[in-house]
Amino acid sequence: MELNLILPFVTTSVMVVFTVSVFRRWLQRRNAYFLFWSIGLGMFAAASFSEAYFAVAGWSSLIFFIWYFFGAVLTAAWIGHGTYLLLVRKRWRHALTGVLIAASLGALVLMVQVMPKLDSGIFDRGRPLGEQYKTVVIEEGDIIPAGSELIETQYRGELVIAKSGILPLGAPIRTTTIFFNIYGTIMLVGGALWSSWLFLRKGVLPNRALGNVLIAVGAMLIASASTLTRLGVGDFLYIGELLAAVLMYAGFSLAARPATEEDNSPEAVSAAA
Amino acid sequence: MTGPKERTRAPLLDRLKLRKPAGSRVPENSFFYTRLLPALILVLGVLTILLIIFAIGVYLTSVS
Repeated sequence: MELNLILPFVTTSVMVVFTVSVFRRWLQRRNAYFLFWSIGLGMFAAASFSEAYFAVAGWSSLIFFIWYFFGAVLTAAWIGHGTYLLLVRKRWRHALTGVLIAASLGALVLMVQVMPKLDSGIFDRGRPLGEQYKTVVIEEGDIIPAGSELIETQYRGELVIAKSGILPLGAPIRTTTIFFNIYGTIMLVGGALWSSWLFLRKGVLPNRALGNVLIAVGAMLIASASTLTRLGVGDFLYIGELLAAVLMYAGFSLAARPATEEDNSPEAVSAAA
Repeated sequence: MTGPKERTRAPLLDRLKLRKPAGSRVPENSFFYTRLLPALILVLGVLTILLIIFAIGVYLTSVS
């Protein structure tokens, strides 16, 4: 059995357990950051399930919608926003939450608009989705994955050679991904590293210091794999997602674990939250 | 006469440090926590900045 078939299933399983674990925390504590984390992690789980679905069952417009909208566009920003809510002062929280929700709704409109223009004929179940989801103009020195179909087409008034993909050339939804993903990466990786540094500087809660570093490494792995995918190298996306899921879940579990038996007391738990 | 209330509580992390039992403190002689982990945080921070600059570059050259 091919690795590309197995990895998304394993990632989905890890992410479902992770999402449920964080969502249960939100049910217990009702902190907004747990809610945003669990929504973002749920999007990650849905996106990795989509990859598993494509590998087994083939093309589906709805599953592509889930994969691209939740996986490529929103997930990093929503997880990162959870970290923002944990770390930043209250007066800015509602404003940025409003901006994120409005931007997500705007992206939803763009995604719905592009759906009738998808070219599902390009889809090849045997290749990673990351290599075939977008149409790109080919320039000298560009990497062209094996099996790619090249077309000659008009773009911005010029005749260009492009690698065919499922999303059409110049689809506005594609311009939104960078903003969501950079916001998510800065908040998630930056927030985790900052928290870890604070714990080390004060010399307390080593489990949280280490847990946050694991979260940062996991988030960086998926951000790097996504950037490579945008470059046209989709080979590392599935393994990057799995490693990210495992590391972030391990980091969260470690950070959430009481450092000593005394830390289990309600007073210590509420002070540490 | 009532003036503005003075802030009497120490920052959260300081309070944690004061009340935490020894098991919750970073071991002072640990090479891992005092040297390796801070260095790793620094490296990861630099890598994150580089990754973001690289991602913006990829975006600007490949958006089409």
